[in-house]
Amino acid sequence: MLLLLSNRGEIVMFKTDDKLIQICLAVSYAILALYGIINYFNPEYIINQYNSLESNDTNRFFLGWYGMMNLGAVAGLIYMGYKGLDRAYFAYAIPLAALFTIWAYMGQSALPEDQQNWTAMGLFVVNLVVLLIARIRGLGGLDFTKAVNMWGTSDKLCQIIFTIGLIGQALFVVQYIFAPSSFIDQTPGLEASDVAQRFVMGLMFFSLAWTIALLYQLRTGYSMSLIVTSLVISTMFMCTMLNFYASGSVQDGGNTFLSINILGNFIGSLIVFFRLQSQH
Amino acid sequence: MIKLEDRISVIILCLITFMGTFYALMMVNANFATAFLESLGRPIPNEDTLFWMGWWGYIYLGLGIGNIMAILSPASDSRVFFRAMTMVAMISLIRVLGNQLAADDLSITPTLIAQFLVLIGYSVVLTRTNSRLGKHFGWL
Repeated sequence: MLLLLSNRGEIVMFKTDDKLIQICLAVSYAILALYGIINYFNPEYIINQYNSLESNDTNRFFLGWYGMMNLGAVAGLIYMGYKGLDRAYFAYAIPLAALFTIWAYMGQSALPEDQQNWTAMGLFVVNLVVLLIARIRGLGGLDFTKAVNMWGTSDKLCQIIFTIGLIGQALFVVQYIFAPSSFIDQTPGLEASDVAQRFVMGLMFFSLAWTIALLYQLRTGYSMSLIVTSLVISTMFMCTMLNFYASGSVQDGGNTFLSINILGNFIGSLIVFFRLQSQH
Repeated sequence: MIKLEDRISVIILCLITFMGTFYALMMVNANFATAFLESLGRPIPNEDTLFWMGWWGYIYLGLGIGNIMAILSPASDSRVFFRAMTMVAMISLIRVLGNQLAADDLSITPTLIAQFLVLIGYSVVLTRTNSRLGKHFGWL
């Protein structure tokens, strides 16, 4: 879709004439959308492709989580497609792609040879390379120019929400470092296993990438691409959580801390989006 | 970023989109869909039923994306969409009512209320954005 629009000449996608950048980001879009759609809407397909994955609710829960994160990144890419390249988006996406390349390597290399499947690892590497090419060609060297205000806005409420978001993401990383199994222990219904533990490591990588991106925005100013990314992710999480409660799938009251986080993320993203959108 | 001029319409479309996304994710997930049907007192769905429910879920998702596009565009670009969605909402409400009448069980259910609210919502958007067909078409 991105390529077709650019070829029609009505809109210059990513506000650049550089075809290589457009192609690279279209490839990233395709990979993220592919994994987002399959993980969220058809996790059984992924489970069938990997001998190490059992068909159980725990694996489906984590795959759904990864799917929503990917679909959010797709929304951010689409936003950039119309509004132009954004340094902060790459400050999120490139560390995330690098971390997930490491994650996939660690996961597969720990398995016996007959159970290994390197497809995802290959696509993660491709995603990392195309993002790096687009970032370097489109935006040049690193830039840490300080914004006039903290988070690049004088809106106090938005500043507070961004700060709470940063603290929350950083705390999840710290919690993982000190107690890697605590997320599974605190969430009724999840079964502890090596695979589940690897999935939790992936969640920590998501938080680490968000922490890096939020620190970058703290200095250089907020990014609307990442606000859109966050809004899509938090809306999907909110709807999914409500469905879990409505269907009675939540056991023993669920993970209260996770529920509060999802609700807080959703409300925070909505407030930030609607208060800042008029400037874009 | 939001180009739809009327704030009330933006709020209504956001609420409808959220509700639509909730139902969409319910229908595309087999566990959620099964629990939904059980809550309505229907039998446990078979694979075919789940397939068609999932199909509807994807349509809901697509319409939700349509709503977002309408929020991001001026009302003049979305008039046909608003008219079509009002018609879809009206037909859906009539279908729910018809199903209840056919089963001789006319009662106020969450589904009926949801469909009614969606129809009211789109009708308000239609009026407030000057999208009603009568505004643009000489009937005589």
